[in-house]
Amino acid sequence: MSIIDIDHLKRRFGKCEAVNDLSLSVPEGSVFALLGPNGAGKTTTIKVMVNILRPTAGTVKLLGVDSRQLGPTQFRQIGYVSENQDLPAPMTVREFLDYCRPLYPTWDAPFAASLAQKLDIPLDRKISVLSRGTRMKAALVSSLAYRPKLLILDEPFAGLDPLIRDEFAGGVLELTGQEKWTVFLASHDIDEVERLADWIAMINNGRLLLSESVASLLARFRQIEVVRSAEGPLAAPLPPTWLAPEAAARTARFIETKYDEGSAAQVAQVFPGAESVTALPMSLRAIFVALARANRAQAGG
Amino acid sequence: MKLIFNQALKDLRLLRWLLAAWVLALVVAHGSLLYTASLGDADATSLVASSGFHSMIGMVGMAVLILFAALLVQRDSPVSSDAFWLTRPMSAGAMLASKLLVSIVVLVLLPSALEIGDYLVTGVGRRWLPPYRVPLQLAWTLPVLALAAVAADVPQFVLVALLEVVLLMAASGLAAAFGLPPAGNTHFDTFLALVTLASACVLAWQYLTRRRTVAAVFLAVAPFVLTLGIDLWPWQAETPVAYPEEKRKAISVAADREAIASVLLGGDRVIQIPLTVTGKPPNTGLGLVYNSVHVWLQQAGSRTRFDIGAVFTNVRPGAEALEDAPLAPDSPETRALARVLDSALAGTALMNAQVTTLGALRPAIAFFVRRADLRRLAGTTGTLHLEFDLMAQEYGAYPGVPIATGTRYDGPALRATIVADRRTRYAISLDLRETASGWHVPESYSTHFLLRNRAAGQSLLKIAGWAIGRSNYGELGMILPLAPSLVVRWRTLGFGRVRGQTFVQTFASHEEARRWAKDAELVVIPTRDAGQFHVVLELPEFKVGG
Repeated sequence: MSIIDIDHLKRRFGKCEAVNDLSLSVPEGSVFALLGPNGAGKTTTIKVMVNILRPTAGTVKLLGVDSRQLGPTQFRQIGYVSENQDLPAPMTVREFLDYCRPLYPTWDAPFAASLAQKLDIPLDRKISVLSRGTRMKAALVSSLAYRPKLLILDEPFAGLDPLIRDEFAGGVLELTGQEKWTVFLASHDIDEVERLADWIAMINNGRLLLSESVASLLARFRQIEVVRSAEGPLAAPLPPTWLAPEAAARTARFIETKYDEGSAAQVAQVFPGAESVTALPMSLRAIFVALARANRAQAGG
Repeated sequence: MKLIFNQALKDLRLLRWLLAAWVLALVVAHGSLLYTASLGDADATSLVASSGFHSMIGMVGMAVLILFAALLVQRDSPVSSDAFWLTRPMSAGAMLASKLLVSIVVLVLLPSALEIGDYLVTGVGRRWLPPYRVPLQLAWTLPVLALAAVAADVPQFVLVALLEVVLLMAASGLAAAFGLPPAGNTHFDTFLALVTLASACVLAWQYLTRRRTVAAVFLAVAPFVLTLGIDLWPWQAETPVAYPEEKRKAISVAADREAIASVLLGGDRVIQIPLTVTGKPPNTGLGLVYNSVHVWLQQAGSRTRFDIGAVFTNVRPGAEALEDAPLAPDSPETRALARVLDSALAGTALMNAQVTTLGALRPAIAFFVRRADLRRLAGTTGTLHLEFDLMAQEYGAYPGVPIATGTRYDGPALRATIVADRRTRYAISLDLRETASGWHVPESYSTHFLLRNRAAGQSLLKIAGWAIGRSNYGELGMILPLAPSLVVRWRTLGFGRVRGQTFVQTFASHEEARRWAKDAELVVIPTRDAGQFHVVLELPEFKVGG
């Protein structure tokens, strides 16, 4: 069952298409990461999701409700933490949490206190004097203390030092595991996402490149290296599932996007007499870079 | 409701320093006001100093109010996409309600309540309580909230506010081009009500829809609609009370062609046409209604309109009190005054020109013939049309009180005490401490002041109805309450209370001024508007050029 459904979403700012025909579904209980470089359209997508921005076309449904109809009932079940969110800077963290408490009938004050302690947040310090990371942690506590069904994090790791980043990610991981929350996370930090996410979508220039579980993604992408019997250019046409084919001397390299048992036979068919074939697993980063390049090449004609 | 209070408490906590500054400004302002009220009548220096301090605190208070109102909205902006409340279970309606709650309690009701306290403490009494206090304060507060609601941050708010001021000025300029008076002057109540309503609409729209474009267009158009619309819309075209026909028939108004004066000013010609009024009923003054004056030259197939330079509305109550005497002793200074009149034709010098015609006490209309028209009309003649309204003002007995410190005047429209008088070569100045002012007097009433010296058979006239009107009072009193029980400093003599360049050398010496004032009395004439009537005059064979 999906907790977020995005259907052919478009969002335009003047002539700029920030999000273009984006469709994806977020399974309930998953840690779903929306990956993309800066300016890819991640934050815009999230702002449309939570009704900060209106879609130009298409629809977004959160918890089964159209994003444009989201109201207090839904926001009591949604946690939202963004790097750019305006927190009430002149307040102390304690005053801030006290302000948030009446907004949520399910606010769990002991839970909030334990979270603040665990994340090492100084409750009596003003938000304005907190470091960026501690501010993000305070925002996280204010978004977790009522045990939301859905937690939305927009670039939560941006600008955080490794220690804070680790604490933050660890906290989120641990709690989502315990509480069975759904986490929707937008980031350009692929390495961090790889640790957290079990489901992933990649977006570039407002367009969706892929959306699937991390396990499936890592399983179907392989960097293939073939040592051929003789030098020469790669003979076209190559299978459409191969990305970034290149040849240097007798070695040919490409990325197989649908790696399975039949892949070896396909390679043997394209490279008869190959001396060796090596299939290397790929990191999320490598997969993303390959897809982004292929997308750029396709866009350039 | 719980969420609204929670939000309101959060705002008060966030803005606590500004709140403290606001309360401090109010306390200081009211403290200074009560202190002034407690001063003895004779302590004029302290009164003036205290009034100045009060004005200064008023300006500080205004700055704090603007900042408080702007930040109140900006802390939970409806247009910033990073605003915290947008992703929290707080409905737009609840957020709007909390903002209105805080602003109305802190910025409207608190100062109003303090003002009520002033009335009670100073013993002025409840019957003098100004009915406009709360609407006026709302009319200041809501526009600031509305402008802050279309701005994403404070710098943008400053920009939007400046832009709005520029648009208001442009709208006023446009109104002037159409020959319309500034709406804020002519229909103050309606203007304020519309400003308040429009601001409330923008604020509500912004929070409920968060669509800035519509609000921005509205704010851009509103100054023009408000400024021009009030005077142009039929529903606002108030029909003034007509002066009874039988009385009007007895009055004759004519242009005195023999006394027409003209002067060249920077290539333009200014022409002043004095009017002769006869047959006025007793105890009736007549004033030209400035906005109604139109002058044009009709020639075969063409009509040339002229800009109005100045209108001397000097057939006013009090004229009878002058007992046909010259307004001031004949002296080199009074002859100099006649020369000043020439420059006054440009409308730059004598704003309150009630005594400028030195006993003639005739209304006059001055208009400009611009350089281009002068050239075009040179050597030609036509029929000059003068069209205007005259307002009849009736008044009853006007007892005089001696000019002496401590003398009290207790009339229907004014209760005042003379707290100081100064007699210089240039003028006799009186400081009147009011216990009730024209603020509370219905608009159809005004108060006129006159210094009369029966022995010398001379009087000096000053019309002060507008000066204590709401526009003037509002400059000081809109933000911080200023009970009209305190000092209003009048320069009873001398032209214009604030225009330093317009002083007139009325007396030949200090000694003469002292002597004159010794036998003089202050006459306060409350008047009632009895109705107005339209006059059209035609001057055939009139030559404006050459």
